[in-house]
Amino acid sequence: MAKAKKIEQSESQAHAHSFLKAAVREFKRDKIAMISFFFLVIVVFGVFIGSMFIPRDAFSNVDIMDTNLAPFTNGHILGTDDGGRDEFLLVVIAARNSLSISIPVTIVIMAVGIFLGLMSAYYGGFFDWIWMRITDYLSIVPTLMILLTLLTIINNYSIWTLVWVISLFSWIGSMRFFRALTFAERENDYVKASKLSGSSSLAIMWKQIFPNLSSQFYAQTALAFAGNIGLETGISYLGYGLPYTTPSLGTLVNKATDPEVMTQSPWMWLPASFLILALSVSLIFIGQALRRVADQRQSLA
Amino acid sequence: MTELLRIEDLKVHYPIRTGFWNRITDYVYAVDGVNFSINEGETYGLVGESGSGKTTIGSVIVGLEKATAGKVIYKGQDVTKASSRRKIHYNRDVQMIFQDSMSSLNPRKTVYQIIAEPLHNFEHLDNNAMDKRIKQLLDIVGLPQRTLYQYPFQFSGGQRQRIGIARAVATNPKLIVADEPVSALDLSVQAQVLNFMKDIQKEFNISYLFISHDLGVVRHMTKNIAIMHLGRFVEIGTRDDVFDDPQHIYTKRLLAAIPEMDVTNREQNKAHRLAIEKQYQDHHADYYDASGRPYPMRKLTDTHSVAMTREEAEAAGVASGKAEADALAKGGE
Amino acid sequence: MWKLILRRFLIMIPQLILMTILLFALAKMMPGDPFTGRFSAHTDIHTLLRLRREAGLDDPWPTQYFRWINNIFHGNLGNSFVLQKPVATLLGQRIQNTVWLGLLSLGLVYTIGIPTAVASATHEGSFRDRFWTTYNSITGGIPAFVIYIFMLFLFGFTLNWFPTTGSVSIDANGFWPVLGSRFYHLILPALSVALFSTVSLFNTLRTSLLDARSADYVRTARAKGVSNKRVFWRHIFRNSMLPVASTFGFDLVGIFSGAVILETVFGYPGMGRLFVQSITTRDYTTMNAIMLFSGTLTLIGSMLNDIIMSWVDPRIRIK
Repeated sequence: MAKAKKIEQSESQAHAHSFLKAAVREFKRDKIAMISFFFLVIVVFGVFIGSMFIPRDAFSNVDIMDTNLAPFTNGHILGTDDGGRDEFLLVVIAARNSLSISIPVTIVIMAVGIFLGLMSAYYGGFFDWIWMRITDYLSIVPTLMILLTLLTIINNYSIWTLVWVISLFSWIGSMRFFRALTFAERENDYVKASKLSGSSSLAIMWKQIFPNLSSQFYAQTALAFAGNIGLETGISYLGYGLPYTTPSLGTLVNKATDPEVMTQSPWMWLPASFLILALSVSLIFIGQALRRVADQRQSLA
Repeated sequence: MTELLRIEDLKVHYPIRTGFWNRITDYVYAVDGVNFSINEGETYGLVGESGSGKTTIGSVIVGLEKATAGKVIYKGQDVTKASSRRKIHYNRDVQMIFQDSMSSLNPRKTVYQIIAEPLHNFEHLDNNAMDKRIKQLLDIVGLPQRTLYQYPFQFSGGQRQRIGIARAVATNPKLIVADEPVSALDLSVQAQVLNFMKDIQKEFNISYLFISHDLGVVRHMTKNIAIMHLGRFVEIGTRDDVFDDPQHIYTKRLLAAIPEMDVTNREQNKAHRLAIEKQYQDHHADYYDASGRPYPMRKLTDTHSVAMTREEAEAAGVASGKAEADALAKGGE
Repeated sequence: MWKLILRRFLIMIPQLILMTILLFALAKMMPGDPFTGRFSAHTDIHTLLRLRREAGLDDPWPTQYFRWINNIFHGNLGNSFVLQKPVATLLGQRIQNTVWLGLLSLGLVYTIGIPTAVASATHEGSFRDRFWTTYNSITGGIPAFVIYIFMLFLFGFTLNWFPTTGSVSIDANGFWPVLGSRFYHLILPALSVALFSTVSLFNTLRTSLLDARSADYVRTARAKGVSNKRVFWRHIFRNSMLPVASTFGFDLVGIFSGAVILETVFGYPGMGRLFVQSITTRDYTTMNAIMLFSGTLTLIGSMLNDIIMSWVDPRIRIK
């Protein structure tokens, strides 16, 4: 039994391996996707590792002499803000905070999405009907406004509260995506064959159907990640994300609402804005390259 | 000859929902009262045009579809309900070969994984026994050992159908439902696969329910044949009954439609076809009731039954009182 | 057809009821009540309690809910305790502003989206096609508020081409100058939306153009000797616009859902900005009214969508 499991494992590795191979081939052909990938890796690791080296008190003692410094003065690469805090360090911390929300949100909505999407399409019938009504309903309520309202009602929250609140409405898209894919996949005779081979519904869903969606899953994850960065920074930009003491990239961009800052001290909001753009754009390029890989494999099958 | 599987008055109806409240207003009578039985080790042919309900019968037998009414009896046990099928590991004994070999093999699974699936679920073999059994199965279907870890897209259509057959016979089943197993294949490969199916039948004493629209293939494969039209059987008989002495007009039309290779009798064949067509137009009411569906079956001989009115049956000159009563009791409706 | 409209309309009713319940529950979860802001620390607690009772805030929830619904039906959305005005009057002007901005944006989306999709689909695989496809996938994926800020920074502050805040200039007097000034204020926000929101229109139209190109009816038309131009406009383009037309309802709704961020960035006094302002001041009555309004609008939009869809596509009607 254990041995059988081992074989299955090595085979699923072989499958993952072939996806990896196809993905590597695609990224080698698509230089922009390649650059995006390395950029993303560097930013994510750089930000998480780098922020560990920033002392806790880096921002606590406000330096009145160093306020509103332009970039490249007094050793501040990106200048300082109105409180004399170093902009570069701020951006690193803010990026870490933003990613600490958007990464868990992505994981939550992809997990919920694939789970509900598979189940809903596979079982069909009443189960599917009820979930479709729920998603229909959630997609007609004014999502952003309700999110903001919820965040004002829950006035004392942690990163995790924020993760759950943002996920509350965002899983709908990924669920519908996987539901549609599963519906198409379910029509194949191999699903019937599996049933006749004595496999349980759960085994058919996860061992038979899911491997056929996995390439799409990776592509969709990249695109959802980009969307969640936008959502989190957008909410923070409006002032309802993390508290001011834990800045997000959106909080930094929010400084641009002051026309004075926007025109006179662009270094306070430009770097954060560029970082948001660069992260989203690179994730889009990665997602598209992965989608091409997924489509090729789909057509191959 | 022992009976393996019996179908009693099987009905499969699908509701049609229409109107403002989406209520059920009518039914599609996919299968509407069908009786037949399959003996051990023999091939039973099921012939009909697309939409006649023949695939639905196959699906009900293997358990992919639920019967609206009627019974499926396997070795004397009622297996109509899913729970009773599970109890006796029904699908270990009753398997299926699919028409579309591409779609019936998971593209992300190797040949090994595909054949291992039923073994894993039903046989609980240890690893060595599993390897051995899978290699043995590959031998049986005539595929080389090196293909064990290849994916389905690396094979030709005929080879893929062989993998499907290997999966179907993996658990030593007693009955295999073959739903148009060769209609997606090239003609040259068709004969190969058919003969090979016959070989494993002889070797392992398997029964087939052979579903097809191709009368030539059915004649080659089967002993008993049922002709199906509009959800009901119109004629049941041995191969000779059906091919040499067709009684129902639909059977006659089907047989007349087989292209003849011999051109010497071209005119004669054409005249024959036209005569049948004329008979169909003139005597439609003798074979189909007011709602356009075939009549219940009437027994002509012990092996041969036809769906027609009493008068027609009498005109056909057989129908002893007892056979008649039997057929009515069995035919239901 | 009328049966379908009636049925679709009836489906809307439970949706609407569910939404009002959700909003009512949200409103009850919000801390404070309309009297919290009106009284200082000196106010007698008994007076406060009496006022609350008289306003019916002590009644059981269902009573309060039905009273709220009843008021809505009589056009009474409550009073904004912050701005000391009926919410209905407050909303009126703001909604107008939002609608004008939205309509102009939508118009621009169509004027940009349709030609680019046609250019892309008619030259499939060319540089032009790849350019517009990439352009749309990028602009469709990046966060809108960052774009808006860049647009404002570039065209508003740096180049000084457009006003940077408000909906009309205070100096404008008389009908035409005011109209001109309003339009002038609309251009930058509308353009910012349009340039970066063509993705769904573009993808829908491009895909359906490509699909239609290889359809049998197009091949038949070609085989009959119809000129290429005529085949394109008469057969391909016309049929491809059907799926585009069917998303019109949702596009319309998109105007309001995007308004929150758009109006905040451009300081444009519409409904979205009012919402953000009322969150900041904890003006719950106004918040709720705006959510109810845009939620209802979304419902109507999705109903419109389904009706247009079944109108242009008979297959759905028959079903």
